[in-house]
Amino acid sequence: MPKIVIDKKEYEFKDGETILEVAWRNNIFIPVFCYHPKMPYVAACRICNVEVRISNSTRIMPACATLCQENMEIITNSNVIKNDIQKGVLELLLLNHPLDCPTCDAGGECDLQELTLRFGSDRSRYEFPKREFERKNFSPFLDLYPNRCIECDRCSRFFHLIGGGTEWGTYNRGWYEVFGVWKKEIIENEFSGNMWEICPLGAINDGSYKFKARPWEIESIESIAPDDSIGSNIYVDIRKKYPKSRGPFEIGGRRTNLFKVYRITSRDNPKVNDYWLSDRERYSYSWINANNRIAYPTIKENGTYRSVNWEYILDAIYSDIKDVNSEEVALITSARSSNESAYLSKILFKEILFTENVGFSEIGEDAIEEVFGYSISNATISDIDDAKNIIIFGDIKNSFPILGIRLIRSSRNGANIFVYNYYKERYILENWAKGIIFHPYEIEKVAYELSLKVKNNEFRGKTVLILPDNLPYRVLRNLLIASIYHDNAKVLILRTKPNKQGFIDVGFKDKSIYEIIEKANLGKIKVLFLWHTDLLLEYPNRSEIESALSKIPIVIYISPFADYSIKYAKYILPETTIFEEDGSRTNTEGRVQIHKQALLNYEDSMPSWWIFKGLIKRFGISLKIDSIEDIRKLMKKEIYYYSEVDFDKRPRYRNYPPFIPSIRKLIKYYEYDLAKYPMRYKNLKLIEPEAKEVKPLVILSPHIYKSSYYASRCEIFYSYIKPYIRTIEANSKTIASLSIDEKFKLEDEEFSIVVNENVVDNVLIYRPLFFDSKINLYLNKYGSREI
Amino acid sequence: MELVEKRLILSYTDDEGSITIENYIKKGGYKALRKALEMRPEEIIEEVKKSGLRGRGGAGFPTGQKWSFVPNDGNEHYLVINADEGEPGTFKDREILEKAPHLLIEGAIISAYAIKANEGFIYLRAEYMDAFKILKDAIIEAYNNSLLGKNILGSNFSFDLHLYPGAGAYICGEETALLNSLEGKRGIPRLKPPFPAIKGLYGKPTVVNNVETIANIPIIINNGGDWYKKLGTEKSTGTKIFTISGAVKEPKVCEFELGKITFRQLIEYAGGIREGSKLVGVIPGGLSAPILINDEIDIPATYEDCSLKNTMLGSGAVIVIDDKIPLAKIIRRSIQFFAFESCGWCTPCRDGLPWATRILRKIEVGNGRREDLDTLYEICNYIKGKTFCALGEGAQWILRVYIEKFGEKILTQG
Repeated sequence: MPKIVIDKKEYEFKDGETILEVAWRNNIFIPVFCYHPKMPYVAACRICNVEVRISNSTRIMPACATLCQENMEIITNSNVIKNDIQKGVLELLLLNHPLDCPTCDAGGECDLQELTLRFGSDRSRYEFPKREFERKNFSPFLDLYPNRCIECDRCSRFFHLIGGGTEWGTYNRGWYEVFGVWKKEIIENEFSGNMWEICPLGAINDGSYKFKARPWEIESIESIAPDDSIGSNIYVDIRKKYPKSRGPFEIGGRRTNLFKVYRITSRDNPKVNDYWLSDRERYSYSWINANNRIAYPTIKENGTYRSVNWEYILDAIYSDIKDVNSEEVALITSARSSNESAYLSKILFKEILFTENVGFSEIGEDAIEEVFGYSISNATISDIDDAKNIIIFGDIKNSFPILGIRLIRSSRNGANIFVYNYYKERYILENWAKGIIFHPYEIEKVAYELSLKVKNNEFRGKTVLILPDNLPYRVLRNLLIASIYHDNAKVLILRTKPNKQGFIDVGFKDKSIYEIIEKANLGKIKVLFLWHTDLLLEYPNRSEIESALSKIPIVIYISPFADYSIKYAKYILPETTIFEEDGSRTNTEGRVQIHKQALLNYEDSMPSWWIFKGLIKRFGISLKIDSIEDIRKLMKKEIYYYSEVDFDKRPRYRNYPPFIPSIRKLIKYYEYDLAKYPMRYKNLKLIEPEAKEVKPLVILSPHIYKSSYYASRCEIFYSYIKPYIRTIEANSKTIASLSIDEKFKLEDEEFSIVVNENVVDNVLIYRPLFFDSKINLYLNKYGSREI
Repeated sequence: MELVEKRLILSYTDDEGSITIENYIKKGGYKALRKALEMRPEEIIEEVKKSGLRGRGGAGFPTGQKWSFVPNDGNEHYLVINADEGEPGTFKDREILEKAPHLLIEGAIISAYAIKANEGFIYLRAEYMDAFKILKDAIIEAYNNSLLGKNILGSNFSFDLHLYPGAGAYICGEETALLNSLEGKRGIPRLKPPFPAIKGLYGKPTVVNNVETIANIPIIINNGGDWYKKLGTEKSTGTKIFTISGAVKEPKVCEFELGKITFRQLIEYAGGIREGSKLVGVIPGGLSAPILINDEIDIPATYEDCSLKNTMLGSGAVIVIDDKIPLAKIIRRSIQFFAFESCGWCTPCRDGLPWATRILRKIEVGNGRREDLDTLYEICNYIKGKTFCALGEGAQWILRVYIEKFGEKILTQG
């Protein structure tokens, strides 16, 4: 290994490593402002300058941007470095800094504070006025203070290079250089929240955390973002249970602040979210205190509700369901609970009640299991990074936003990305991907042609297909089969329900919820468990669902939220949410990730595994379960896939300076285990597509905030959702051919038309805020309707 | 001794100039191109190397050597002509652009042929409105005469020349900032290495040359490198255009053989110092070159003599300073220019120079103290060798030399 000398000691380095990387690795903590380990270096702030001696000439070079060479001699602690560079740069940066630390949210976790304390001078010789900028706000997520800016360019670099946005930038030059937004009133990029996290000081602050707390009063708890099945790793920031400082904790004798999430920050898991978060993951947490949280177990008797205690309600449920036929029991869930809860519910439903009626989604037939031998992706999320071709079905921005970071990165590295959809979404419009736009009725034909291309190896090199699991059966099946024939193709299945993979792994099989609804409509279901889902919220075809629910005598409603179908429930059981319980979740690639309890249980709510444990006990089966660890032990024994999973995965550590707050967050990182899956590929034949005549169609489409179960409950997104404006998007050709000018009428409801030329002909797009419109009444079960 | 100019480039601007192609050909234009297209590209680079031509933009880097850095890989290369002449006191390129545009075009074609570039860009200073029109017409004329475009003069060589105006930033005269600006990005310098000759415009090998450098190429090809080398001194070959401005009677553009003339002679050539004032010093090569005072003015105007006196010949913009303007005002105005033009990318230059400007303004209005000079000197230390590009470096250099040469005179001479 080649060696360099830093402060008279020899250190080894690898080719392509910078001086800073080698120094940090060996505990020589050179200070930085503009450098961020997750972003390309630019050497703008110049505080990392060091003296470099090569072949008898000494020069001052930025450590972050200078590659190591053999025989380099580096000095990091000479007088020139200490006085002219570290002290000098800090004095210059502080010329314009307003020093309003007492009112700044970043106070206490500010790079400038910490480095000034460590390397700077305690006085300034500057005696002239400081420059000032007008304050403007461009986003509910961010709170901007341009006066505090030290022009490190981290935010613009992130926004352009990693977030792929254009509206944010650095403007003006020299003394008056400042960040800002161009052409737009509001920042539309869905990764903007990361900017406050990488900002080394309080120039960009978290808009949702404004004046709420101080960093030393806050404790960060490891958790998982609940909105999608990628499972981005997050920290939930809560008030410390035993803070050193005083604080207004006691209100009415209860420590209410312990029930509140203060903010969400990102947790580094290089294999999953790679430190970044999308705004949906970062700002969707105020649902935890939504005003429709269920507080107490409740029984409906003769049309009136009565709050009861847990023992009473579990006894009552037991006496109601103990004699019911196994075919007459059904469970519908949206798979939003932990693996541990899923496992206990599996014992209840599969081993005690012996029911086959379990539904997670509208899908039903499982093409993945048929082709792959087991229902799981064979690609991991990080496979996107080195893929040559990436083929995507659907709208990544609006349904799995965090994947966008990797797509943009691969596109920059020269990967060919193809997006198949019926409208041009972000990655097509911004030229990250080539778009193939088709009418929904042509999907089988388009997918068949693509399958032939994949099968015949027309895509050279590593190919990753990214397919949501709710694609039509034949489409998914053909593409999966084609991927097996390809030399180097892998498939990343995107689960449309957050923990669906975990539910499949513990032993459930997804039956279409519509089969259960149909049965119920025929009066064949007597007991229905609705678990962390709301059928009327999440599925179209409302009239059918409503009539089915009213025909079921016993509906047991287990959920944190009192949503629309609660009115059909006989038993209402309050469940805790992800931030209030310990657990593990399996993400879409089969990675078992751990989350920890951050908040106390909301009122009387309990984790669902505890509820199922109680019911199992009443059936006379005693499981020796006192805690979540006992369930995990049992799962490891009983579930083959999880037999080697480490549920107590410890974080790993990097050698980064502990005194730079914005980089300190990266010292710890997490790598969770992939579950072990048996894959048995089958050589099946492609199914030829059925021709279907193209007709004008209204179709439900995802919206990043509107169609999320959790995010749509949070007020912070309302400036993006505009909940009271119901619109339908279509291109001008469709509008002309249907002769609908400004208003579109479906049965008795009116929508305003928005012209969107990116939509394919003969398609009208409706992005629902859950249940905000009666349009769901008229759609078929796939969320579309011919006109 | 009477001073006689050696007008090589400027001969094309004499009389009616050579704006139209007929005039240019009458003055012997496009002969070099025909000759060059019969040579091999390597031979041209060899010829330029032999001539010892040094870049006329300011840094004085040998042109032939710069060209030979371009990898001979058969890939796309670019030629970029830096016509962003923003250095205060410099107007030599303007003379060429407005009076002899075809000389530049001919030089560009030959240079592109030498470095195997099929596309060239002229990055023109935004304020040069007239030059833009003239150059545009000349390029169209050249296209019409099949001097640009596909198969130039029937050869296999094709070359397209594009004209781009800047947007008024001095920093875009720095070659990597110029490339950023040309790509449509923010005009900030890039990290070096990689140098533009390896990774330049759009990531392709790129040669960035000054207008005057390119204008010298047809002359070298016409007369041969050896002939050119005989002009001037050993290290500073050829002729150089000087622009004399400031406190002289007749500010002018002139061209002399390097080493055959001193700065004092240049002042005399421009009619001498203006009435009733005393000479304080001469800035030899544009605002970013430190001032020469007293008998330093008697050195020959060459690259090597200037660097011996801790200054530089730069762009050959000779600014003569007399005692009619307060010294503090001159220094303040110079530093203010650099502070205003600092791109803001790196801390020392962005924050150091405006601070220095404010201190100098305080001195200018008579409130200066002895400690202010110490602070100024320390700001120079903060910047020296610690910045991204040469802008801050140049600014701190002149400020430092002013303080070293005049000391407390700056405080009192107000």
